[in-house]
Amino acid sequence: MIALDPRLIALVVLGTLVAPVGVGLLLGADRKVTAAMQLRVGPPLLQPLYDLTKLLAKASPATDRVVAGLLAGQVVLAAGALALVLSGGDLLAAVLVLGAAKVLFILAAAAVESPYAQLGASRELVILVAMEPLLILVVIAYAVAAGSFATSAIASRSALVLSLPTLGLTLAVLLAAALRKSPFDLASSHHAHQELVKGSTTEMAGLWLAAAELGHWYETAMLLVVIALAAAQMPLLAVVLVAATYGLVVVVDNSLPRATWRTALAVAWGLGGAAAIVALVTAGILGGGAA
Amino acid sequence: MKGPLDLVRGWVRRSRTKSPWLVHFDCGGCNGCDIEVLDTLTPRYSAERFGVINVGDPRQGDLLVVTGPANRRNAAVLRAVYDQMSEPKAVVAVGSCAAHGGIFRGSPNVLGGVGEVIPVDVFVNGCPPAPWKILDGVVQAAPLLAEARPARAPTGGPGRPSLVVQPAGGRPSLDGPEPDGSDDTLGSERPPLPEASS
Repeated sequence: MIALDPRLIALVVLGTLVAPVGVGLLLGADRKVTAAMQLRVGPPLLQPLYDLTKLLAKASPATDRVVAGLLAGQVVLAAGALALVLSGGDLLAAVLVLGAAKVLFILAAAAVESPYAQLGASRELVILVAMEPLLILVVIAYAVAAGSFATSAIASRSALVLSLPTLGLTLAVLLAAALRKSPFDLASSHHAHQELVKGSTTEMAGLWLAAAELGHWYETAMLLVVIALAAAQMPLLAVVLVAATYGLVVVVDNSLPRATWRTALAVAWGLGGAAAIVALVTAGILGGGAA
Repeated sequence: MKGPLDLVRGWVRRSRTKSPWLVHFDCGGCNGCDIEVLDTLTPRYSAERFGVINVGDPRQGDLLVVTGPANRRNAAVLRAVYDQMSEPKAVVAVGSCAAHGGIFRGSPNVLGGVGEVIPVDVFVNGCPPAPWKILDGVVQAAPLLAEARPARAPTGGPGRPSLVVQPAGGRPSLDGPEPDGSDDTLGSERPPLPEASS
């Protein structure tokens, strides 16, 4: 019924195609801000898009067919998860599809012989373990408050974050994890913060590194949409919430380098988890009447 | 009249020159140049403003930054690292040793500069060169990444060392008479290349 609306289809297709460009610009701004905090000029705003285009256009070396298939699959799944959310579909299903995309990426990283890639893959698993319960808790909190898992129903609820303020903290932790910011930059990092800089992507090059990157961008886009959902019906608040969460993540990233996976788990489950459970309880009390 | 295809081509060319990822390979000099290369990558010189990222995997890299003299021990390794990089790619030889063997030239195991083994695009002179000169060399090599180039033969050395970063294009003769009429003090005897498979 909802899928037949041509305007909705246009929104979904366009949104899914434009999302990587938006995320690329956001990551460019992120690198600019990070550089400014370290008293550097930083790369051009378009740098992430330059990097992605270059990787796509580079003569790609032969890659294992299984790895290639897994990397292509994770892009399709991650883009599909975003499309599902944009079409107003089941948010929980979208989050699980995104989880499947991440599992494909981990398999691709673990399928090669490089010990660095395998170490990166196992650390990527730690991030998944840290992140996935939180994401599901957030979705459940949304659902309890809105009375439905459908994104369209959640989006029609006005500004959930105002009634569930602790959810903002969980969302910030989740965004830090999605962006692989410290302390979640264990598996692969763009900076030299960590002892393992190109862990999970060690053996990926050219087109396939671009595919890994693109899947990651879709994951980020999806997270940003989940954050914006907390301030649905109030566009200005949504922008402020996304900007504030992003700002917090960048500051933490620059002041907390060289964190270990134990820090990652402690931050995710301790801080993010506690905040999510408080939000869940609050939602149960507040949303019980609404539902 | 520019079609959409030209716009895409222009964007790709622009992207390639704006994103030179470095592969740093040390052929085995005194490590002075390596310290300067790492210095170049520190926030002080802000190499990231040119899109520079240091990568460990040759297959992910665009610019090969080589220091130290080519020698019998690692010629095959240097060649393998170069061959593993996919087009478009370019080579920056950093320091006197990478240019012509430096103080190691004439040693029984030294072949000369890295240009004896791989094609070099830009020579950065100095012993060691200052970080800003290395960065200048990288910036000069970046436009060469715009298009994939056909396979090139090893280019040899840069000729008589000059004080400025110079492109390898016009290669003055290393073996010919010097401008001031004196003998070439670097010597022109070069041992033959080793077998790559050994």
